[in-house]
Amino acid sequence: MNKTILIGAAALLGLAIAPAAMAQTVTGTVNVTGSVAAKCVVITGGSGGTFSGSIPLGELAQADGTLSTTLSGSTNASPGGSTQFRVNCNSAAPKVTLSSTRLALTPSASAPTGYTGVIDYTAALDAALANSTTQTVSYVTAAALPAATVQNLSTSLANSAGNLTVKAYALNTASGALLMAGNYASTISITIEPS
Amino acid sequence: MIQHRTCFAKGVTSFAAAIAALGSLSVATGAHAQDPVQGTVGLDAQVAQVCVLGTPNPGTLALGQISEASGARVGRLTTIASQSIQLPGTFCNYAGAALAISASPLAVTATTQTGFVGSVDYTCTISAWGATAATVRTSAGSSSGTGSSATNPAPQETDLTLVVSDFAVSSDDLLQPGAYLALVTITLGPDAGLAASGS
Amino acid sequence: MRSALLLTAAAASFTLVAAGGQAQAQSVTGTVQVNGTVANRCLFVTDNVVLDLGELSLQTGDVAAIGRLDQAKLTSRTATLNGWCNGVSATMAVEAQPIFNTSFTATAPTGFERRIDYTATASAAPASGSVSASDTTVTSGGGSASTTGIFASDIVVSFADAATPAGGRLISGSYSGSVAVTLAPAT
Repeated sequence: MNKTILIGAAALLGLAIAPAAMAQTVTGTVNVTGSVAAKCVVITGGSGGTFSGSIPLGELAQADGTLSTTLSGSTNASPGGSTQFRVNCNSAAPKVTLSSTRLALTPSASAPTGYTGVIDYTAALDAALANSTTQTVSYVTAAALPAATVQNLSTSLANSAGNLTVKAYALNTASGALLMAGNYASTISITIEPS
Repeated sequence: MIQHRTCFAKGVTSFAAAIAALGSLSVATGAHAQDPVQGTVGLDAQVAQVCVLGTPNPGTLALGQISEASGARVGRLTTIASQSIQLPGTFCNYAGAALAISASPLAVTATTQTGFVGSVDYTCTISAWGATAATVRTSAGSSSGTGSSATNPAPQETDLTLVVSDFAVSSDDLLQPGAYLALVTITLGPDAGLAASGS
Repeated sequence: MRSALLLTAAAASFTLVAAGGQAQAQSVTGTVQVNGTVANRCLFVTDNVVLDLGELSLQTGDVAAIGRLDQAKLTSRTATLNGWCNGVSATMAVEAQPIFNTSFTATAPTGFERRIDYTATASAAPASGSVSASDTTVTSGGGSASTTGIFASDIVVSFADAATPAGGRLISGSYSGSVAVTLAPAT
């Protein structure tokens, strides 16, 4: 009976030792991945997620009481007024949403015949792009305010100071209307989304 | 890190609100009122020169019988007292108006026979118009007499008295029987023209 | 020897998770306030009218009346200016000057006149209804101002109460007077 047991043990031993005697190189790969969230952030004119500013147009009427011809003849190239911001967006085609209220007498008052207390105009956002061009997103106010302008920029925003310019120009009223005296105000609303 | 961003956003919002408030304040005080403006209505007019002679009262002088009916001077001119005619409320609305009197002799309307005279002279005087009296004395050869006018250096309204006096016949001959008639014309107006006349 | 017990290292992979966890898109929003002002202002579009009243004295009728003022020569006339004011506080005022004989400037003799007094009234037409301001030449200085508010209309000047100081006859000559209408944007 003893002989049988000894043979078994030798076989086991042989199995265990055989692999440990050979030399081998091991290789392994580690994949590193990361992601950058698409985001826009305000650099000048505000911080974080909001910016604000103002465009003071000064005296709106000329001596004959009607809208100043300088303001009515203003264009994107020569606007009535403008203000600049810097927003950094890391996406390839940020989406701009732009709208504005009408430039209106505040507090509002009903206008007698021949007068007006509301002025329409074009609000525009000029975006300096990374390809050294400028893309203009505009919104024209009217008695029935249109839907907001939504437009994707053709490429990334330029990584430079003052890459956003907000402009007000092409002011207009009914022909020959006299402007009621007082303070006029409107609000241009802008949203820039990474995509 | 998320917490940090939230705090910052709150700070930015309140700062922006403060800026907006300051902005509206400066705008309100900047809109000052312009100066008053004036429109003009010009009124141009004129008042023409006018003179009005008061209505003569009496309108005519009826002298009646002008020759003596009896006595040494029968048939010759009797004594005729001075006569007065009122022209009340005579006026001229300008300075320098001249008053002049012309008078024709008191003359018989029929043919005068030889040896008779048919014309009586008299003097007309208005003294109230100017510093000197306007006067004229008739003469046989002239239908209007010659006289002097009176001028007043200011607009004037006054009552005029025409005094007819000093009736005389130059030759003191017998008077031709018949009706005798004379015409006295008073002219009040600019020396160069006549604005009013009364007879 | 302990290493003999280890199994062949299998390729292991693990993912480095970006800081912050899930990737999110961040937008910015902005507002720009546009401001302007319109100053309170008034303007005369027609700022001068000359009325030729013609012959001021009565020339026909009762002898007692000839030479005296013909009131209708003034009271039947109107002059139309035109102007506007763009503010709610705007006012209008009138100052009238007597009509004087400019040819005869000495003291008028008894029974004669060289001055005509009257009342001038200016009327504007704002949307809320006619607004008037008056002045009499009898008292020096202008009349009190009336609030017109915002308006753009004709301003009609009319005349009343034409009279000479003592009712005498008007001295011959050229006569001249004037009415000033003032629009003030705000007091």
